[in-house]
Formats: sequence, structure tokens, C-alpha cells
Amino acid sequence: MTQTLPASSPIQLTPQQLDALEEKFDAIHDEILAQRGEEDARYIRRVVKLQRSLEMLGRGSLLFAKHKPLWLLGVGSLSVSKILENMEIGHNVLHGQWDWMNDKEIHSTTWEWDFVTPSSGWQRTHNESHHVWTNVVGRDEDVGYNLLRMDDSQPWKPKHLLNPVMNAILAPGFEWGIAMYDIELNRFMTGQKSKKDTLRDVKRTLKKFGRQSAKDFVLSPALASLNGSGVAAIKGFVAANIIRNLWAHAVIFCGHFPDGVEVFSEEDIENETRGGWYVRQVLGSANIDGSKLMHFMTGNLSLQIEHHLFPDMPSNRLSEVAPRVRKICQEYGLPYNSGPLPVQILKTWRKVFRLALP
Amino acid sequence: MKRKNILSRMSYAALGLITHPQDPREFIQVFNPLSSSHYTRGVVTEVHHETPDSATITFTAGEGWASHKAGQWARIGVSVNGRRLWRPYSISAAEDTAPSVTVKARGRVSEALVYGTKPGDILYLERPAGQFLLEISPTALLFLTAGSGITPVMSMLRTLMPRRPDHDVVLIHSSANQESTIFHDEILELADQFPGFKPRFHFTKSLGRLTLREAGQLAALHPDILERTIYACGPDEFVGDIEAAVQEADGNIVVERFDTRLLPSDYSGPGTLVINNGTEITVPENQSILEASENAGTELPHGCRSGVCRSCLVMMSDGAVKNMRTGEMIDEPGMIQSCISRPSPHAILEL
Ligand code: FES
Repeated sequence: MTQTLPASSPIQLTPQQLDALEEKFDAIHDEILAQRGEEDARYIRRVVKLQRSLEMLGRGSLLFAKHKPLWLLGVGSLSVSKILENMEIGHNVLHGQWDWMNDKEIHSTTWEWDFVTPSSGWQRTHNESHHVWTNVVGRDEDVGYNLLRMDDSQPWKPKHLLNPVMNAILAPGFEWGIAMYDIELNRFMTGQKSKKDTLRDVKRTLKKFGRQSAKDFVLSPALASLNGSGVAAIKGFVAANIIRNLWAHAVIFCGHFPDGVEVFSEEDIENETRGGWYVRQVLGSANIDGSKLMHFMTGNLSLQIEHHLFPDMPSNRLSEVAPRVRKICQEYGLPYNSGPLPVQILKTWRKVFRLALP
Repeated sequence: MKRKNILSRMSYAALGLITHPQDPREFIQVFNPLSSSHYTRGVVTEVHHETPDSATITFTAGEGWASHKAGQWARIGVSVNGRRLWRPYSISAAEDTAPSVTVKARGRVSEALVYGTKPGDILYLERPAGQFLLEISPTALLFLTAGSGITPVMSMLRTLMPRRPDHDVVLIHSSANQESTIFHDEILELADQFPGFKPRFHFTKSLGRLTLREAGQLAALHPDILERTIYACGPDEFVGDIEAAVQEADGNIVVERFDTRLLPSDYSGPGTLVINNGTEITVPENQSILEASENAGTELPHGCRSGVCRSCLVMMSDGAVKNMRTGEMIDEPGMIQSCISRPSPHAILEL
């Protein structure tokens, strides 16, 4: 199978180059996966323990939220714990990055995360649609989440004038947006998803929605009200959830939407080889530069390019392969889209505004 | 007991309302390592080296464990280089005492247990099982053991002798030499303490293997051997020999064998796939489990078919698979990616 890159692409590689590139990326992947061991296992167990401790500290403090310092401590630790739970733990576990440990306590088939959308539905839209069809308009619905216009190739409609407004609403309510999106109502409307499957997903989501909301907005505040902290607690839980959602939204949008990230059409990927798939992952993703802490707090999604090349690689290894990936990209003239967080956020929002117009 | 169970289940359910979607036990785990909603966990309390290459590991078990009977074994899961592996081990402790297993360092898991375990480490546990059980009866007993076969018998002796000091018990234990004999000194101590217990060692380095293939060898082993209930435990071949000889002589025997086969480490020819409903599929050399089963008319869950999405995970309950992309071998029960795995040389799937 020979294939070059889509004619529309600014990057042109010969089939031989594509094969060589495939070999190089495969080699990194296999090398790191073969190295996985005790250290890595200890890493994820420690993160899980840290997250659980922070969550107990946060929730516990918010039960006494009428005291200002405890309110602050509660919101702070609960926000951090929710961020870790969703990103460095949840997202990565649900990708199967830790399945090799053969441990049901940290496994993609048993993990349920602290996020409104149920794990199973998200795994389908994310691991399957998004990671396989990365940035292919029409196949990867993550391009704009059926909500926003995020690329020129998506036909402009008047509703897109609301692009910035929609995005501003989506950000604080990100987990609810994702939950809605994972039900795939659009695919149900076009007949690609059966009524039975859609109903099952709606039911699952409603159930999770109920339990998630009850936990943070009803039951925990009710406990807090025993010492007169009820109202302060509600405010605290809302704040922590919003902080988590804003952060997750920012990080995730920076992964695929800053300027310079390419999208593809279905014709572009006809007869795509594995080498071509790798190139598409690089062209379709963007990184956030930052410190170790930054990578940790984004669940290493700041290393989006590496994550997209190797979705099953444990997140703690991404930063060590990044320089090697960058070098290969240089060698083949592939743009390696990376920038500090404020710059990437700015670029993303600029796009949201620009594409509101035809 | 029942009442306590209902109460604890009710409190977990109540706590679960604010720990959702995690089980409260996962949070309790932060303080108490025995707590888990997925496994029965154990914490190692003591590691005692019996011989240079064997150790007795004593542990405390959490919820889900049942106290063992003398002679039983339990599957134990340990992390070996980060990956959870399971092996069955005979329990060596007396009934009604803290459970312990005595392990000889042979194979990755046993080596990890003997050389790498320290107090405070976590073990994963399945309930004690097995039918190699001691009947407390007035009958005279004879134990015939080889190598690690002494382990469950040790549990029996430790349980039995203090209860019935007058018991007439003979032990014939076969091992390479004195240094490699697990429990050597303890066995002699037991004999001092309980006159009814008469142990004898057979060291194969000087005496050669203990076989009972020829007529008369069984009777020569011990004068009233056929009047005793015989318990035999050890490697497959050893136990098989004894069983055949005793049955031929119309004796009374209870056996337990250890499977000492090792799995092939790598394999690339055609493989065999067995699906739990009995379907057997031959997987040609360059085909994945997913493709081969589809060709045979069995649909397995899948998505991308290229190793990216992991929607093709299936449970492999036995056998081994090779990852066609990385060459990695998986020979432990667990979830495998059917689109990039092939049987190596056989795998049993649980659908
Ligand atoms: S089908 Fe996608 S990983 Fe196997």
C-alpha cells in the first residue's frame, strides 16, 4: 500500500519517508511499553492515593464551610482532586494506559470516573471516534463537539454567530456538555445510532447525572447544614466543579484547536497507512509548554501530540518521549505545535471568534 | 455475623452516596490497605526464610477471606514488575492460626515472593480451596511427600499433633538434601514433642529418587503401610507413582499434585483459540484473534481493529497470547486486545 499525504496538506512526504517515520514512531512506542514496570505502577498508585486523600480533605473541609479558611481549603483541595481524578487518572485509565498492570483496581474496564458522563459512553466517542479518526471532519465529532464551528471546512450557519457565547457556556459546564455529546443525539437523528442504544445511553447518563448532582449539591451540603454550613457548602461544591470544568475545557481545547492545527476530510485518509495515521496525529494536535507540575495537572494532556501518537502509553512516560518525537518531526518537516498555556488559549479563542463569521 | 454483614453493607451503601462513583472502600484504603471493593487484600506480617531459596510468608487477610482448613491452598496475586500475577500456594499454617504460605523460589511469582516480599507489602487473595483435607479419625496415617509437597502436610501436622498427641503418624519426606529441606528442624522438633509422630527423610542426592514402580517397594517403605490412610503430595510424577502403587495394593490414599509444567515462553506458529462455549478455532500464523474468530463466524466486540481504541478487550481465562505489534507475551488470565493478539500457542476466551 503506497500512499502520500493528502494533496491539500502543506506537508509532502514520499511513501518511503512515511514508512521510515512509521518505523521510528513504532520503535519509541514499543521500547517504552516494554520498559513499563514497578516504578510506573507505583507512580499511578501514588497518584490515586493522593487524589483520594485530597478529595477526603476537600469534602471534609466543606462540611464546615461556614468557616472561611475551611471553605477555601475545601474548594482548593476538592478542585485539585477532581482535576487529578478526571485527567491524570480517569482519562488515562479509561484509555487503558494502566491495563497492563492486570489490576481491576486500576483498569479501563472497571473504572468509573467522577464526571457526569458515564465511562463506557465516553470511551466509545473518545477512544474510538476521536482517537482513531482524529480531526477527520464528519468522523471525529470532537471537532467542535456538534456545537461549535472550529474549522473552515465546517459550513457556516447563522447559529455559528453564537460560537463565542456557546463556548463561554460550555467552559464552566464542560462535564455536562460532554455528557450530552456522548449520547450522540446527532447520530441518532441521522439514523446511525439505534433507538435502543440511544435510550440505553440516555438512561445511563441520567442515572449518573442524578448521583453526581446528589452527591455534590444535595447530600454533602445537607450533611454540612447540620452545623450550619449548608449554604456555604453548596457554594463551595459549585465552585470546585466549575473550577475543574474551566480547567478541563481549557486544556482540552488547547489540545486540538489552536491555530495551525489541521483538520482532514474523509478523502484525505483513504488508504491511510500507519505512517500516515501518525502524521495526522501530529498535524491534528497541539501541546502546551510547561513545568512538570503543569503536565501533571493537565493529566499530561499538555503532551497531546505524544498522547495522540501513543494513546496507550502510560501518561508518566510522555514527557520523556517528547524530545524524541519533536526531533523526528523536525527531521521530516512536520510542524510541532506547542506554546505556553496563555498563548494556546488565546489562539483557541481567536479561532472561536473568527469562525463565528463566514 | 449476619447482622454485622448487613450493618456494614448498609453503612457502605450510605457512605457510597457521597463517594460515588467510587466504592467507599477505595477511600478507606488510604488508611487501611486491607480495604478494597475489587479484591480480597492481605498484608504481609512476617517473612521467615526456611532455606536459602524458600520462605514462609505470614499475612493478615481482609474482607472476603475465609479461614483455611489444613491441607488447603489459595491463589495469591502479587505485583511482579508492576504486573499482577497469580499462583496457587498451599497454606502451611495450622488451622485457626494466621494464614501463611511457604514458597520455594521457582518461577517469577515464587521468586518475587521469596526474595522480594517484606512486612507491610500487599498480597491479593482468593479464598482457600482444595480437597486435600485431613479427616480427624483414629486411623493411623502415613504422609508421603516430596519437595514443596511438605507444605500442606505441615499444616496438617501442626493442626493434628497438638490436638491428638497420641496419634500414630508416619511422614516419609523426599528432598534433595538436608539443607534444601523446608521445615527440616521443625519436623524433628515435632517428633520430640509428640512420640506418636515418626518422620523419616529420604535425601535423593545420596539415595536416588524414591520410586515405587516395582512390586514390593511400597511394602518395603513401611511395614504396615497398607493399614494406614496415605496422604501423598508433591510433583505430578511422584504422586502418580504412589497413587498407582497404593491402588494396586488396595490401599487407602488421598492425593494432591503440583503442576510443575512451565508455559512456552514464545511461539509464532498457528494457534488454537477456545471460546468458553466450546468452539475451537485455529488461528493461522498472521491472523489476529479478532479476524480468526470472525472468519469462523464468531463476532467479537471491536472498533478500530488497529490497536488504538481498546474496544476489543476480551477476557482470556487461560493460555497465552502474543501482541502482534510489540511481540509482548501475556500468559496470565486477564483482558487482552483481540485485534492485535494471537494465541501463543493456545488461549481460552471467556465471552
Ligand atoms: S479494535 Fe480497536 S484496539 Fe482492538
